[in-house]
This record gives sequence, structure tokens and C-alpha cells, in this order.
Amino acid sequence: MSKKKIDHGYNLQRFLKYLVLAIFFVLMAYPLIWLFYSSVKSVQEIYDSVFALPKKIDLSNFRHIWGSSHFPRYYLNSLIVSISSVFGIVLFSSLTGFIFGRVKFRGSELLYTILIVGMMIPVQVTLIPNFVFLRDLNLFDTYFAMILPYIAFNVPVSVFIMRGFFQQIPKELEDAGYIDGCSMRRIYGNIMMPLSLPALSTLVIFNFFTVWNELIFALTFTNKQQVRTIPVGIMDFVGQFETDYGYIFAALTSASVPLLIVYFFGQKKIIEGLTAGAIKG
Amino acid sequence: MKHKRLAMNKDTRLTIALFLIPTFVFYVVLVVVPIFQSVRFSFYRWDGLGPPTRFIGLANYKEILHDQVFWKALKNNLIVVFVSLLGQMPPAIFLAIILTGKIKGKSFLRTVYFAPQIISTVATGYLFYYVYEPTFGLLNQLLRSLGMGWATRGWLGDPSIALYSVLFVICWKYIGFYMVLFMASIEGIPQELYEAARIDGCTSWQTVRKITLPLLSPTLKTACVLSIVGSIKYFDLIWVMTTGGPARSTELIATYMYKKTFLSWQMGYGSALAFCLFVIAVGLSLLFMGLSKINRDVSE
Repeated sequence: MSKKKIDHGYNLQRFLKYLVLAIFFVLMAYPLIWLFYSSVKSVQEIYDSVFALPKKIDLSNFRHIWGSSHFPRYYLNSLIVSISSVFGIVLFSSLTGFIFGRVKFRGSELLYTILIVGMMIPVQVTLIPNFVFLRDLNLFDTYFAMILPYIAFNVPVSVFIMRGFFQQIPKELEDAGYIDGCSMRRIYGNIMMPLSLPALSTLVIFNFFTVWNELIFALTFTNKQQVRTIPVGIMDFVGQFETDYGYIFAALTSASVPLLIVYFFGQKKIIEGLTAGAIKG
Repeated sequence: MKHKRLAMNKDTRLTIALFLIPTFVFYVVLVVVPIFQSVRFSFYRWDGLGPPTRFIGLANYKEILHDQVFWKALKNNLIVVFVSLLGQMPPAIFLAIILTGKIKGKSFLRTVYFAPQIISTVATGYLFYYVYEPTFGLLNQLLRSLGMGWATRGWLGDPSIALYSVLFVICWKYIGFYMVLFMASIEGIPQELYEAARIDGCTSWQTVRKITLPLLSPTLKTACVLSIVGSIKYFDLIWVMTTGGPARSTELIATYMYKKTFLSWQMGYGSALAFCLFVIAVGLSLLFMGLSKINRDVSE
């Protein structure tokens, strides 16, 4: 009798668990799925019913935005800006993370603290001076107007991650190098840097997603469509085609699907990368 | 020998400098110096053309104190802080506990719940703009087809509800992120603790309350600070979905600062607003860390 009662309670609990998971599944997934199938519906079909699945796959929305809009340009710009920024961030923070992780010198703690405080600073407080600075250097409306701030703002958290990684490397490996008479640069280049490749890949992912999706700098420091990245590009695009739902859904899908595909294949590393900066113990 | 050591030192010092300089040049020029410049600009009345010349002391800050829009925005920011904490942390903890237990398809579910984090905020913003759209939007169509036509409304057009509509999207986007943080932390809890609890006959609720939640609290604290700072400086989704409207009902300090600076070109006033935002963000997170420390000391 009592056993049965426990089982009953257990089943109810299990049922509730799966119910909650299912509700969250629908909440999280359906808007995205809706976006994807709406992008292959014609405008007429969308107006007829926003729910219905497409009767046939109509790629004309995609042909339009990839064939005769600025969209491919935005994509290219995003690639250029993201790759350059990530390269700079990863290079600089690997070098600096190595120093802060392995070398003690006078003032190293202070310098590190000054850098790490940067993780807390809201970008807004630097927006106006940087706007003036970039404008005065004639860098407004260039790729550099985005790349330079992206590097500056993402280096602190990346140094934090790299330093943590370098600190875990056993000291013996380094000592062996010094006994062989290697210079510090050789120790970094031949021993430490190769060992840090897993951490570097985390950094690449973390920063790539951050930079690829960044809005406020791109919005503030650019005006021309020739240099604008996807987030601002989409804003211009929607402003232009507000009621052409098909085009907009196709643009949003084009902006999201490549990232989602990459995510589904490399999700373990990507989840690790995207949450790396958050865990400070 | 001595000579050699000195030479190495010189080389080492050179290396240290070489490895630090690029990082610090970027950081100092584009992050540190601008903070001080921002403070300086906030003492001027300035339209951004040429260098600032009209020094007005603290007048911008005095004006902020009497600026209805600023207080409205601050109030909205605080709503964002509270709703984000309440709307993200409990569901994220709940999902993390379920998904770290024995459950079918947990890695698939984790992938799906985290997916909103992958999509750019701008794409998310427009996706939900069309979900909320009054006539053809998904939500109102759904309500109508369920016979709940009375519940339909302009989700972003009605000032009494617009902020909460956007907040739903913010929660939608971030629950998966915090869930993953919590999952990592729960997975780090030693299994022996759970086994001991099981042997002692603890119910699963007791186990969660006595083991999982206490050991999760450092991560929870980090997550709360992240969420608070994020909420105070929040900009992206609001800018995309409502640009602070209608009738300032979704105005945040960041959107107001942006409008004042780059639409009205009141750069001195914008700088003062930005500095207030900075102080509030730092202040609130210090306050939160202080409170949770007191809390811990008391409970010990």
C-alpha cells in the first residue's frame, strides 16, 4: 500500500519534470522554427496564415536578399571585422596572459588588476570619447572603427582566461626550457603557446560570437552600408522592407542559421567558450 | 656569470614589455583614457563639433536630478534588474537541476535551451518584433485561434506592457546561458555527497535544498552580479524592438543616453548620463556583493 503510494508520487514528479522540460522546449525552439519555415513562405502565404507550414519551399526571398540587396556585403563586412578582431584579441591576450600567469615582476599584480577591472566597465561610459577619437583620426566609417574597440574591450576577459590556463601548466616544463638556456620568448613560443591551443580555441569561439553579434559600437561608429556589419545591416534592412515579411524572415534566417549549424556541430566547445568568461569562481 | 645573468634579465625585461605593450596600448587608449575624458566632457555643454569649450561645472548633473526621463529610465532599469533576476535565475536553476539528473535526451535539451544565446540580439529582437506584431504577429494569432481574442493587444505598442514584453525576450535569451553555468557548477559537486544523502533517506527535494542549492550559491552570486550589471547597461534588445518607446515606457538609461548623445547631439549631457550609468552599475554590484556577504556571515 505504502509502496504504491510512493511510486505514485514518484510518477507524478517524473511527469511534472517532463512537462516542464516540454514547455520550455516549445518556448525556446518554436519561435526559431517558426522563423525558419516562414522564411520559405511567400508573402501571400504568410498573410494567409502565420502558423501554417509552407505549402512548397519558396526560395525567392533568399534569392532576393542574396542577389539584390546589401546583405552579402554585410556578411563580408562581418567576416572581415570578426576575423581581424579575433586575431588581435587572441594574439595579444595570449602574450599578456602568459606574462601574468608565469612571470612575477614588480607591479605585475597592479597591472593585472587594472586590466581586469575592464571587464566591469559598461561600454557606454567610453562611447562618446571613442566616437570623437575615431572621428578625429578619420577612422569613422572604416573597419578599424570597429576592430580597434573590439580588441580593447575584449582583451581583459581574454587575458583573464589565458592567465588562468597558463597558471595550470606544471612548472617543470618551463624549468626544463630555462635549463636548456632558452630565452623567455622561446619558452613561450616553443612550450607554452603550443600547450595553450585548447584555451586559444575557446578564446576564438568566445570572441568570435561576441564580436559577430556586437551592436552598439557598430551602430555608433559607422554610417555607411559599405562597412556595416550584419547586426546594424539588419536594422537598416528592416527599416527598408518593414512589411516585406518574407524578405525579413529570410534575412534573419540567413543571419542565424550559419551560427546555429556551427553550434550544433561544435556545441560542447562553444558552450564552454561562451560561458568561459563568466565563471570567475 | 654575473654579466650573463644581467644580460638575461635585460632580455627578460624586454620580453615582458613586448608581451604587455600591445594589450595595454589598446586598453589604455580606448578604455581607460575615455573614462576620464567622459568625466571631463560631462562638465561641458557641447554639441560634439570641435573641442568642448563651454565649461558648466556640475550643471549637467543638476539637470539630471530634475530630469523626469532619467528617473523614468532608472525606474525601468530597476524593473529590468528585478525581473531579470526573478525571471532567469529560478527557471535556470530548476532546469539545471533536472538536466543534471537522470533524464532522457538531456544533451539534446541542453542544446535547444542554449540556442537562443547563439543568435544575435538584433535577429532575436526582430524575430520577437514579428511575434508581437498586432495584426499578423504569432502571439495575437495564437490567442485568436484559441478563442482568447480579448487578450490580444499591441504587445510593444501598449505602454503598460511593452517593457514586460521585451523582458520576456531577455529572459528567453538568457535562461539557457545561466542554466549552463549552473549545470557546470552542479556537475562539480562530489557524487559522494548525494550518495550519503540517499543512504540517509533524504527525499530528492531535501537533497536539492541541503546539498545542491548551498553548493550552487557562489555560482549563483556570480550569475546575479552578471545579470545586474547587464541589466543596468542594457541596450540592444530595447533599441531594436522599441527604441525606448512608446511614451518612454521602455526607456533605459543606456537608450536615453544614446538618444541624447547621437540624436540630439548633447554630448556633455550624454557623458553625464553615461557616468551615472557607470556609477549605478558599479554601485549596485558592490551593494549586492556586500549584502550577500552579510547574509553569509549572519547564516554562519
